[in-house]
Parts: sequence; structure tokens; C-alpha cells
Amino acid sequence: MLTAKTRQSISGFQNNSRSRQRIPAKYLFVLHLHKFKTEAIIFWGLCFDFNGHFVPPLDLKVYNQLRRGKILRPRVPMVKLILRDQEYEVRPGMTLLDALKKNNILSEGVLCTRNGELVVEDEILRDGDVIKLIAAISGG
Amino acid sequence: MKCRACGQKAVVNMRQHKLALCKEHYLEWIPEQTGRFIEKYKMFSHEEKVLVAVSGGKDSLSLWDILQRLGYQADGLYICLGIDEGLNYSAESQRLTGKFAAAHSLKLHIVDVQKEYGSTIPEFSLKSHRGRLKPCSVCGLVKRHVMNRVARDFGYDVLATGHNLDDEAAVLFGNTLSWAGEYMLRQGPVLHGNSGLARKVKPLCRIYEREMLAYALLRGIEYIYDECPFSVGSTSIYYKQLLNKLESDRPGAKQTFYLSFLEARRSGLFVERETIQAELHPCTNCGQPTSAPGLCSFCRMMSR
Repeated sequence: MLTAKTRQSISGFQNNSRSRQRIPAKYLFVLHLHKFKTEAIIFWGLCFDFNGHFVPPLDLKVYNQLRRGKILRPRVPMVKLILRDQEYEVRPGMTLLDALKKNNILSEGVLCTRNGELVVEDEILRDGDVIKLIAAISGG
Repeated sequence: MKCRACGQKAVVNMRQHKLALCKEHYLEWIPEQTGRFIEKYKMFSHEEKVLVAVSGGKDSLSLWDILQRLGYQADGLYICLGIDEGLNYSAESQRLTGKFAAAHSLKLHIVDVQKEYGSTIPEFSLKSHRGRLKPCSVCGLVKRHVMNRVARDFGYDVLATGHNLDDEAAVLFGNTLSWAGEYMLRQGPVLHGNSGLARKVKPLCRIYEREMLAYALLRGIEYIYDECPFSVGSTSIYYKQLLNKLESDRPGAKQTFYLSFLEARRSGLFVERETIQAELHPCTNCGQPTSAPGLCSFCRMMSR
């Protein structure tokens, strides 16, 4: 477990799942631990999961790379937009309307759903969101 | 964004009305508006029998749902066009229409074009002179004929279609580009019938396509999401995209375009020539009104 002090020093780190949003991107990584791909927080060369538990990488080679500061790949926070068979990726933190504008999608021609529920365009996108867009235009 | 009625989280925002609503209030608002327009344009009354032309798409199924909720006597008409194109398009839309009718215990007339007239729509378009590559013109002709025939044969007072504001604005836009005055004279929420020609109404003509989609989704109506394979790249879809671009910069532009046209015509911008109305003759074969003496264009196509 992390000590209370270390906990505080990772900005906004709290022991719940919502804390994921507050951890700055530079601490988040995709690791190949136990031969599985996982997400973790690297802090002072040590590896923690999102509940703040220490994760000892069993693979010694990976562990040594971590200790030496060689990081495999930083995990970039992303939001996915899906329209018919096309996928778009945007960074979290912007509104849905901005994300649509960025990808040249007219908000008048689509409705946006997240987990099957309609969302309004002023919604601020969070890391890991998957927004399904439903085309409104039809006819011939 | 919050619902204007109750302050809960909104699910639909309509910029042209400056109105955001939650699911519960949205599902009340749409039928209320539709009912208001039915009365405003004097489309039909609760005593009249309405035939709804249902395609299995979001607009027509939602229209049928709304009319049924408002307590109108609305039966459905599904026309099986025989469009497959590897997507099973007609079969799937017929299945969804049948499912909706059964779930709400509504009466549905089904007309299979191939069984009744011998060919499917794509086959007809190959035989006819009307657009060999695209069957849309033939499809429209056959649908108008069948809709009118069923309405007449079963004694329906009025025929309702699911055209929304985007459909109407796109047609108007096309007609304006070519200044097709005669078409513009006829376009509107109500097309008055005469002997042999059923009255046609468009109860959704004031509601945006996007709002109808939201209604279908929130109401849980299962509709066919795939496009008709022949509609890809069609002019009307292109016009809709152009109008949406305008709408995104100026909320309400589509609505103003359509409504101010209706208003301008009402105040006499397009003066109706008396000759246009008087030129209808009954077809010598099927009896439906047509503009030239002799066979109507449907019967001419059939006799080929």
C-alpha cells in the first residue's frame, strides 16, 4: 500500500475508481505485466494499480526496466467516437460538440449515445468514453 | 444541460427552439407538438380513418406510434418493394414493421409489388425508361399508385406519410434551385384530395429529422438503420447535408426556410393558375386521376 503522504503527492490520487480521471497522463502507462497488458501508475519507478496497491512485476526483465526508468509506452488518455463503420479518437476534457467539430462531423446530422444513453453536446468527455454516433439523415 | 420542464439532466437539446428536455418530457413533447400541427393544418379529426404509409424506418414507425398514442384511428400500409441488393433490405424492413404492428396490436395492410404486379422495383426500373440505373423514380411512382389505391379501396379518409422537416426542406431546396413553380404550388403539410385521389398529410412536417431519431431511440422503437441501397449518393441526401451545414451555423435556418415559404405562398407569392387544377382526367385503366387523357403513367409502365 502507498503511504498517506505518497498518496497525496500523486496529484488528486484517491482510493476510488473516479481517481483515474485526475491522475496526470505522465503517470499512466500500459505495461506488460505477467505477460498480460495492464494499465498502471508508475511512481518513483514503482508500479501501482488504480487502487494504490503495489504491483510487483513478475517478469524480472520488465521490473529492471522499470527500475531503470525505461518505460514501455506511456498510455495516452483517449475518447473514441464511432459513426457507422468509422472510428475517430479525441483527447478527453473537451466537450462533445468540440470533438465533433474537430472531426468535421455536423452535430445536426447525428445523435450521440454513451452506454446506450443519449448525451447532449455540452457533455465533457472523460478518458475511456466510447461515444456511438447515430446518423439522422436518411431517405433518397 | 438541464431539462426546462423539471431541471433533470437533458437528453435532447433543440437549438432552434432553445429547448432542452429530459427523456420523460421529450416523449410527451413530441406527440403534443404533432397533435398541435395536425389541428393547425386541419389534417384530420379523431373521427376520420387514417392510413399510415409505413416503411420500417424511424419516421414512419414513430408517426404510427404517435398517432396511436394520440388516439387516432391509424392503420398501417407496408409496400414490399422487393429490394434486396445483398442486404435483405425489404424483408428486414417488413419484419420490423410487422413486429411493431403485432406488439401494439395495430392493423397492417401489406402489398407485395412482385406478387401483385409481377416484378420487383429493380426489375421494373430495368424495363422502364425512367432512370435505368436508379430505380427511385419508378419506386416513387409505384408507391404513390399503391398508397392511393389502398386508401380508396378500403375507404380511408386520409393518407399520412412520415415526411419530416428535413425531407420537406430538402425537396423545397431542390425545387427552388430549379424554380420548379408548379411543384412548389403543391408542396405542403396537406395535399388536398379530390375524387379518386386521397388526401395526403405530413403530420411530422414541422419536426426535425434528428428529433424524430431521438424519439424513436428513446421510445425504444426498432427501426431499420440501414439506408436503402439505392439512396446512396442521392441528391436529396446531399441537399439535407447542405441544409444541416447552414443549420449548424444558424440554428433554425431549416425551419425558417420551410415556414417562410409556406407563409409567402399563403400570402400570394405564388398565385395559383386556375388551369392547373382543372387538368386531371381519370385513367382509362385504373381510374386514378392523371394529368393527360388516356392511361396514367403507372398503367403505361405496366403495359410495357
